[in-house]
Amino acid sequence: MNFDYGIQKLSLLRDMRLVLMINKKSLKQFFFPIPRRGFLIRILIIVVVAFIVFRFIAVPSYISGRSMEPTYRDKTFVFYLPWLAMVRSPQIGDVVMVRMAGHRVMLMKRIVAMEGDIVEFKNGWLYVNGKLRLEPYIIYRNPWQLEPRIVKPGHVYVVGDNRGMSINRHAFGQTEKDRIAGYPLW
Amino acid sequence: MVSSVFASFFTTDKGEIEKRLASLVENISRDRGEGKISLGLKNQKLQKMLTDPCRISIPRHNIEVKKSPLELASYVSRLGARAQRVNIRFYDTSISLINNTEAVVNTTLRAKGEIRSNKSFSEVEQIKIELVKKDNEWLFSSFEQVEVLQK
Repeated sequence: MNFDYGIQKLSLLRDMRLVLMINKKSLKQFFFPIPRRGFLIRILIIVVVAFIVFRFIAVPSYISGRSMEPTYRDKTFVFYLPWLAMVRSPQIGDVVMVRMAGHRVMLMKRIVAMEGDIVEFKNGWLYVNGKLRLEPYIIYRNPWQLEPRIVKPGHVYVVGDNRGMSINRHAFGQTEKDRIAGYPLW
Repeated sequence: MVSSVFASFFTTDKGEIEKRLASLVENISRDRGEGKISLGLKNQKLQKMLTDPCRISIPRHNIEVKKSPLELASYVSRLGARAQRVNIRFYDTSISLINNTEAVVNTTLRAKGEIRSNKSFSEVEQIKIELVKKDNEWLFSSFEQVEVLQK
């Protein structure tokens, strides 16, 4: 019995050593691979695919600012889809990225009215064409007052979800549809 | 001598304007605890970078003025004095040369910093800057805020 146990122990130790050796070898290969042709091609494919995905399909963006809280928190990340702006026409309720001079710094806002609509704020409540617009995504609400105004042709009216800030500190208003640079992924 | 000859041949107008913008950023930005002498020097440098008069247009606040470099630099200093730290950066800058002596820059300006009460601020604006070349130097002649969102 003892003899058998000794053999089992020995083989277990041998197996463990073998596993460790294999792991060491594979770990070394993983971190310090020999740059063979196949390996370089794989790396190139990964780089190209990553570039295409993160440059044109789902672009990572850092959110800085509180104007879209609580839907999008300050200092968080989001991916936006620039190609969607080319195939989709903007609709009320959409969260969009509004470009400025380019695509590196953009504004993130929600569309609340389309061209020809009359927009106004009364005591923090949004009215479009004289009708109260219920917005379930709004949690904070300050008594904003804004005289009625018509959204110009080719424009959309965008506002952030954080209505708890002062109306003077919140950037919102109408912008050209052409400025919509994409839609967030979530 | 060789380097200046080399530079005169290979420095393009766009390159010079880029340097001018970098210098503008440096002279408007303000570090925490920056001394009065340093701020004074920045103020003087800023004055030398502007035309007389220099136009400022902020349609959001119905501001359309033409000021002398001294007035503008003093105004920037006064604004800066209200902050502990101001960090300015330009993004997505495109430079268009209209002719040999005029250029237009379209860019996004981001100002971040802290005011005296330790409150942080962050402002983003698209701006259009006009420059004119005088005595072989590019000078800022106009700063205009582009209204991306119109309330």
